[in-house]
Amino acid sequence: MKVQNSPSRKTFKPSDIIIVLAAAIVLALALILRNASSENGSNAAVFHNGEQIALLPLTKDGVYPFDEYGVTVEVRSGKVRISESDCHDKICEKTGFISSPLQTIVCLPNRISVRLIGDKANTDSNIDVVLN
Amino acid sequence: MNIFKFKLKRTFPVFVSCLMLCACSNQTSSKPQTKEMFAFDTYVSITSYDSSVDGTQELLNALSREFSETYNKKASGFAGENYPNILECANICREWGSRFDGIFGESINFTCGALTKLWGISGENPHVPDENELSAALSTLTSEDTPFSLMPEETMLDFGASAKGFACDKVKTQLDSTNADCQIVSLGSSTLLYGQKPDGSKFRAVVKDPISPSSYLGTIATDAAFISTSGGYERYFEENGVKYEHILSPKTGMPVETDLCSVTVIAPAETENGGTYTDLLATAVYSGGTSVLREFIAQDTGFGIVAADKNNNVYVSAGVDFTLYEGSEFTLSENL
Repeated sequence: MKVQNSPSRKTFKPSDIIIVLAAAIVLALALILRNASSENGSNAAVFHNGEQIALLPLTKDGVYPFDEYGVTVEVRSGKVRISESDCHDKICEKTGFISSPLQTIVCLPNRISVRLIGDKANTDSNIDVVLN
Repeated sequence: MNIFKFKLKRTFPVFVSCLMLCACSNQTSSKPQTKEMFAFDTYVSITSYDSSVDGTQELLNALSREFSETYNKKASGFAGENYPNILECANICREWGSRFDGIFGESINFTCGALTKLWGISGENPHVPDENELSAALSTLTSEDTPFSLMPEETMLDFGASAKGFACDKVKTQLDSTNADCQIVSLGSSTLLYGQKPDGSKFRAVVKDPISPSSYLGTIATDAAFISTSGGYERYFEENGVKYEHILSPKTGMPVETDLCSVTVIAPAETENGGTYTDLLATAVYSGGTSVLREFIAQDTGFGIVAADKNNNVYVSAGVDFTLYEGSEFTLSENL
């Protein structure tokens, strides 16, 4: 025969509620922080031969010369472009500003590529590849 | 006050669980990894949902090294067994020719290396050759069916219309043998969409707007496939105000004249040599223009096509799931 709950053991104590509340607050905070960081977490990554050589925050305008690689990268209003290159075809300069993680600026002669990375990349997650 | 101190023991696991939950939610979004490199004279990106990226990168590097020797060496230097991939690619081009020359004429010829070199369109000093230079370069072209060892002394090879697609075929074979799950390999003009995405959805590939390449023409939704694109809008040079595109006619030695501005050819991933074939087809249809496009679609070859002409019409063959980009200046047309 089993004895039903003894009166001294209630299902919830006031202290349990505090714990649950604390847990909920921590979880909510964690989620808010995660989302906030994803909104501000976008950067322009500059690669040389596939190796990342710089990570430029899109939130701050700036002009970044990479003299040893022959290119200058400019960030303006959340977009990025190769503003100057010493290459012969200037395809990279002609590409202009990019603002989508799907676009890549490529300077073939200098082996440089620039693209946007960070959680903002999820906004176009429907797309898998851009054909060139 | 005492109660908090006392409950810490029970609270701690709760915090840990919260942290684990956050970590979990990060992982289950299954973000693919992207690796980039330069190979085949182009920008290459490999996106993978598993750990198969490194093997693909090594394979592409090895293939790229082999094919890059065609820039410096005469055709006869490729006879023998040291260049198995070049020989295999040449044989696929030959098969392709015997199947499609009826439609395209001989619009592609891999013995045109000297001609490509003469123009130097992708190099540092592209220039328009004079007539003597042009006829000298054209005289080095020979039938693709000639074995390398018997090709004329000055003949050079150029697999610009097939090597990248061929590389996609090779990557696919390797991924098959390693049971890879899903990978997207983009070699610029040729792309392999391999396997199935973790969420089971179709791949979506964007075709660039040929007039303003920073914008989109539309999106192709597809299962695993090979896709190749051809157009003159990115690689070209200007001399005396005239634009010279990089695709040269092996007959005239001049850049092809075409009324198309972008051609994309797609084949299911099961298609034998589908990478090489889509690469060759995209160039051949682009070079041939709308009259050739019409015949190609009519022959129902099993290859899908999306083509844009210079009058802002887009033609899509049956069976291709293509969505025109909203706001595009192009319109879908059925009157080919």
